Amino acid sequence: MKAKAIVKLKFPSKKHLEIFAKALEPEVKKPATTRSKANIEKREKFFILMVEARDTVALRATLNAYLRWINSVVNVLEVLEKQ
Amino acid sequence: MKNKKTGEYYCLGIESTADDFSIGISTFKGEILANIISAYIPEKGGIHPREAARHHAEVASQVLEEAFRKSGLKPRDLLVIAFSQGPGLGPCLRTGATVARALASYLNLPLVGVNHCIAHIEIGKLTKRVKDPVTLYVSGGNTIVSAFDLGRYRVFGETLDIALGNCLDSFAIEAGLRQSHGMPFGAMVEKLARKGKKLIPLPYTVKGMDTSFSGLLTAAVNLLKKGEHKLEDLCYSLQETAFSMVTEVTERALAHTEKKEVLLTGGVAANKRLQSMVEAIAEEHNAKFCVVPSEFAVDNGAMIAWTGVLAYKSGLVTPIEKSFVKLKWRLDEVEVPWVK
Repeated sequence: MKAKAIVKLKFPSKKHLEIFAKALEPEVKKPATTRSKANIEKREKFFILMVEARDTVALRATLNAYLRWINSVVNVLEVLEKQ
Repeated sequence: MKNKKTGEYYCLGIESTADDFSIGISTFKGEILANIISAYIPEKGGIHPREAARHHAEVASQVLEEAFRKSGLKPRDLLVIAFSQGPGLGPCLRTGATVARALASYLNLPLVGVNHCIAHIEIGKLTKRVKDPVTLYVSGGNTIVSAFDLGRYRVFGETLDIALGNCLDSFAIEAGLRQSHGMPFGAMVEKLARKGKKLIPLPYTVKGMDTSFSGLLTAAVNLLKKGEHKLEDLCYSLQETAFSMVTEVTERALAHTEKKEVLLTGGVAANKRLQSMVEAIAEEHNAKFCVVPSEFAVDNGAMIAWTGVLAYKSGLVTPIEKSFVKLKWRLDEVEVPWVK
């Protein structure tokens, strides 16, 4: 693995942190490609996404996928909280 | 939980196997309260899985909000979250699964992974009040002739390469047609085919009980490029040949199983010519012919919600930590305890 990235996101509560971890864990365990692998960690109110990849192209693709999912879940939770 | 006013239970279903992101809500009795579909339409060419997944992630919250508005329900009214676990395009499936897991986790509800192909059959059975049909399921991603036997939907025949809908779509793209909301490629080919008069010989490939459309597509595209035939005649000939193939296999499955119902489902089920051909063989075998209503023929969340209800009522639940998507999940791998 040549390329690495770490993304640290702050969430409003531990409940939110838990939801994001549960939503993404199956994707971490069974990645779509062998070109990259991701890991997630919860540290207090922070959600840490760590991605390692064979090259920067794979790194960007994996980061984009995870950030897209995270953004989608943020928006979905907003809808639930509004209702 | 049970809604205090209505005394009903509800399941929310998420569909995201290909180009549509959809959320449906069904009661436990099979009343569809919402079926919101957002289609990804590429500017050019066919579906790009990553772009379709991007579309799904962008529209998920709006579709969810619309589903709640349409149904008049609140999140707390739900009892189960269902999602299409496969088969389908990886990036698209993963987006729907992530949203479903988040919903189930936030609302503390059970999650049910649903086989997309089975959902197409079950929504047809629900909406047309069919009990035990031979099903012809034809769409952009699948071409399957199936019937229930010994605890599972069995595959009697299927495509060996591309799906029937894919064949029509690819031909339309090669012909330079442009799809739009409410006018998919299949509908355009059908419209042109209605004006066709000359039947041009094209490869007719049925191997045993299976079909093959790739050679047919290549031959049709080659003729198109030569420019010797009218597009209308080519569309007509392509439809006649491809539809005859699936109708032949369906008829043989019907003769073998001796079932008394034929169900036509999937996106291509909306094609009137295909409907008339399948209806003709159903009549010959004294079987009732049913076609799924067009709003439920395309990929939709309602079918996932309803199949989620059936699975949940049979005690099937998918633990979140094991809710991996299954890209090549065949319908004959799935036990269906709700069918007796």
